[in-house]
Amino acid sequence: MTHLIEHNCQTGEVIEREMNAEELAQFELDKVQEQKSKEQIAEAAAKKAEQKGM
Amino acid sequence: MTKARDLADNAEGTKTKAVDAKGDLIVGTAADTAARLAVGTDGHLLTAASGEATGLIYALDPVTDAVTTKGDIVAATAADTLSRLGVGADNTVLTADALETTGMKWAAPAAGGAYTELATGSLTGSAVNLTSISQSYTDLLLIVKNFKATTDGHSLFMRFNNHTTGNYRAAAVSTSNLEIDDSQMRVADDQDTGAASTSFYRYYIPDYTNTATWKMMEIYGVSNNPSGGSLYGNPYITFGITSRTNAISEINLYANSNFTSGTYILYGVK
Repeated sequence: MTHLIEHNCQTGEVIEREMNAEELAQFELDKVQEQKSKEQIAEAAAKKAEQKGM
Repeated sequence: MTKARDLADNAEGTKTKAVDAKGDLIVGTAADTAARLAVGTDGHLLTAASGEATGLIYALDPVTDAVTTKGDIVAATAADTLSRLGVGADNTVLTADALETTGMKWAAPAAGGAYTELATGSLTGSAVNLTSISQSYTDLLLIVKNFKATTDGHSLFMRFNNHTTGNYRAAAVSTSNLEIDDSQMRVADDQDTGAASTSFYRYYIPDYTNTATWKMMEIYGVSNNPSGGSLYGNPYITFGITSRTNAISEINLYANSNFTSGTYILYGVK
């Protein structure tokens, strides 16, 4: 299971707990988004390099 | 001649009769009259006191006498006059103030550049949420060191207030790349997971409590990967933004895979 840390900056309390369904869904979504972002950056860099070569 | 010897004899007799303990003094109480003054308590000082029969008294040192409580200090209130000044509240500092009786007071240190640690810990699990951030500071400074996650080449991501739709942007100035990502900010990139790899990132969020403007964050960092050569390192100079105007009360850190190491310290900056 995937868990997270919650650190309360006022009380100093640190809680470790399992992610709830909503957080898990977001976690999976973030992974997809990261991959998509990396591809976009690579694509933009390739396009830029191509333009420089022209 | 006789008179002088008589006086001496009388004085000798008076001394012998009056003295009956170690430390006793013979003191005049009036013309031709003497009395015994017993020695005072250890450490007490002999002081002139016109109200006393002998005109003298043993008393506690006035500085010692003035203090009553741990932390007390003694200050002059005028020429030859002392007064006790009780210790101030924790973390206050002694400050000159001409309006005070003693000319001094305990007061909170002047604002400006003071860093207060709000949270410190290790990066573990899949995410670390720094919650309930006090709104009493001007800026926030977050230091993250040596973060690693299970996936090689992983990035570190950040959100404010757990908002997953914040129109975030993170621009790596060194490569002129603007990463447009509505849901998160990539705040460190391409971290090697080798045992000897290190990283050190500094995130500065100015005026994080304002509710009128979008928020920004300055990011400086360095990571190194010794497997690429002893001098192989990545400087990371970038900034992050969000179109949200909310005051920031929570910072969310995650790597899209589990953290395996790393530390964080969050400071409030006055």
